[in-house]
Amino acid sequence: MKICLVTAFPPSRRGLNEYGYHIAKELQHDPLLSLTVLADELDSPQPEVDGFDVVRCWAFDKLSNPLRLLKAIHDIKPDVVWFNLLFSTFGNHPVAASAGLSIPALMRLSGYYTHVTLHHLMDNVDLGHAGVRHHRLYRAAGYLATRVLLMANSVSVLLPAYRRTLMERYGGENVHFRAHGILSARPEMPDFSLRGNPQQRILAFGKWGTYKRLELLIESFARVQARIPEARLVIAGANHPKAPGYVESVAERFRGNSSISFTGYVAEEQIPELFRTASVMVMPYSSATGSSGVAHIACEYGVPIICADIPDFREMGEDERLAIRFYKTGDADDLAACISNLIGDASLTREMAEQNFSAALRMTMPQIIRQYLRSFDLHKHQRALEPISRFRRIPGWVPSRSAIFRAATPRWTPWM
Amino acid sequence: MDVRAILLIGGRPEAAGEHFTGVPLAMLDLLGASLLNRVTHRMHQQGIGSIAVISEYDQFPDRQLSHDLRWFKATNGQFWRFTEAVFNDFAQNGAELIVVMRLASYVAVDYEKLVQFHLDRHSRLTRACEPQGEALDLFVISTSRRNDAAFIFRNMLERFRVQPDMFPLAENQHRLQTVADFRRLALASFAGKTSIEPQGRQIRPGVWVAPGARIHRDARIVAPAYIGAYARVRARAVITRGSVVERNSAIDCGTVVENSTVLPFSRVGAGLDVGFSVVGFRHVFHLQRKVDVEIADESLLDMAPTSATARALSDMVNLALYMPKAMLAGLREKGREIPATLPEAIQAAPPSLSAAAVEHQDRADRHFAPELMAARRYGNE
Repeated sequence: MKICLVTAFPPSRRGLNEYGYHIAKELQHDPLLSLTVLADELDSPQPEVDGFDVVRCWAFDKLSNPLRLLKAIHDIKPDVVWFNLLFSTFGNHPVAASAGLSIPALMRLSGYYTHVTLHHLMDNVDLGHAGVRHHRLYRAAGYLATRVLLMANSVSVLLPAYRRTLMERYGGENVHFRAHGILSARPEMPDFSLRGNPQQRILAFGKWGTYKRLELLIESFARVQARIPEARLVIAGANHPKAPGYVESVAERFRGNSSISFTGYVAEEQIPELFRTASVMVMPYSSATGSSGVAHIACEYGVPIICADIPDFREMGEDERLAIRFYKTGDADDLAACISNLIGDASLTREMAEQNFSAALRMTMPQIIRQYLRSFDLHKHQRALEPISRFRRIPGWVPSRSAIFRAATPRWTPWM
Repeated sequence: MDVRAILLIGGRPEAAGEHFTGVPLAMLDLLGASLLNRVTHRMHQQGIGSIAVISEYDQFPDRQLSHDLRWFKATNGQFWRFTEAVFNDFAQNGAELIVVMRLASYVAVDYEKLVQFHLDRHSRLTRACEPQGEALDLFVISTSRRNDAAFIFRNMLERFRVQPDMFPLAENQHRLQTVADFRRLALASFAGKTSIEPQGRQIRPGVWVAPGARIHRDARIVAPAYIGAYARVRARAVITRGSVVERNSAIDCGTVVENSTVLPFSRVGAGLDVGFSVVGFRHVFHLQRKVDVEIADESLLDMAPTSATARALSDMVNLALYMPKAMLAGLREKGREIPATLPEAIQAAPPSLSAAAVEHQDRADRHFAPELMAARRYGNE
């Protein structure tokens, strides 16, 4: 099966590049698959990740993306075109983003089986926190874009609530829920001797500046440190593209505080070390844009999670049986109490870590990708077998059955 | 010398599996001819005049069977009494020796030598055995010893008043007690391990085709394989891995028959994958799972009338009624609902994922779409 994966892809640092990389890595393991990654163009030439067939044929905020992708896909002639999408994948400019989001529908019209993995919904995004003006206009555009995305052959979302929204509000019939997955094939059991020894490291990880902000966390941390002096705060990750300079400004403000460290952008190979030594991971968000990739990485390394009480995260925790402690969103006291109680209770920390690790084992990347491939395979088979189903209705005594069969089932040959 | 034979089909509790959908395995075609046919033909060739078959089952129409064969259906309770009665009848009508054989296995027997052995030893009862000594249900009984015969029949060929003389055969028997044995026998015959010869012409090494068979030029026959008389293999069908398509069967377009036997008069539908099975009489018996499934959908598996006249009439009636039936069906048909997507049962998370993750899915959607089919990958996939 030939698959074209349309995604942001490292070394690009645009949204979902890591998730796209892990999908591609997993697909690459299957010898029966031929994978081409149709990735975003880089700002400056950089070497491609080894072992992948990457065609950089679209660019952020470009109106020509539909035509360029269509041409690239026509050249490859894949069986499946798989989009790994956010609403802002193809651009921040509304017109460029909308043009990009129409590509799955165009691909389907061109005769390709098109699948979209949609990481969030406009309906669930707090546009205020995301730094968007003209809310109503954006909502209307988001509604239209969602409708257009649903024209793909099938759509996967990462939260059951999103599926319900798409089915009930948009009348989507081809929407499936699939777990986010933990971006790893074989998570390693956490080494508890590395944690709280001697420092209790509180980790915050993400792209900061919009709805992920650090002020609340740092304010809480001061209270935590008063109770637990050996606590340290590690803030990992770079700025959100919409908030350039945010992390640097916060780092500048707290330069004198040796208990708070800023790592900046964390490369893929540095992630294990970062999480293995963390006692707890905090998600100090003001709203959510879907299933949290960061929470899944924490599960992979068996790290307990403390998270703002946002309905999407609560649902994610319940559905995937993650061990998450929720604090009242925006309440620094509650967050501080939550962190202090957790890192002060070694047995609870360990219990949560084990629960998260156990959840991780249930949703490794191979398991998640297998679900996708199974559905692609079934669609392919169903499509090839449809003519057979019609052919069987022809009575047995009709002459020239063989000739009719050959005319009616041109796709049958590749099955042999 | 007047030598006659009684062939027994069934008659023992352990014989319950010696049939396929009510047709005894010995009556099913195997590479062009049934075992019963092969045995009777050999007996006739070697001077055994009259043959009676006593069976628990009805006779399956077989034009190749000798017309002077007498078929008696006996229920299990009366089976051995019936056998005794036929033995007595043969004796009264001048038979001097009677060969009694239970068709629960196949072995090539030289009946002339067997009878000669019996006469040379002045034996009252002779029993055939394998070269290693394992006894077979094959006896020669002198008709002058009716009481001995009666005793044997009343004990279902398992106990004797006098010890029989053992006649060693040149080859081992091939048991025929289950459908799997039947299929094994076909494979052993392809491998040359039995004396069964496929009834047809070897068109290329390992591929035998009987007269009247029609194979489309786009069909693939992979050796070893056998295509029976008047069988039909349509375009893009594949017959492979020791498969047997018996007489008057039809393999429709695109169907793959792999390591299977398609019994006479079977019509296998288009685009199917038949593997490790014995197919016929609207049944599929899967050899690995040992499961017998009846297929009600005629477009998947059907059975043609066994008589040529009936087949022709049936086709004519179908032709005449096709248009009226289609019109009637069109008038009655309500808009058929085409599922927009795959059912949730397929999309659902695997059991390894948490139960909670799948609980939200609507139970009503957890059914397979009526048009959904599954297929295996082949070749370049």
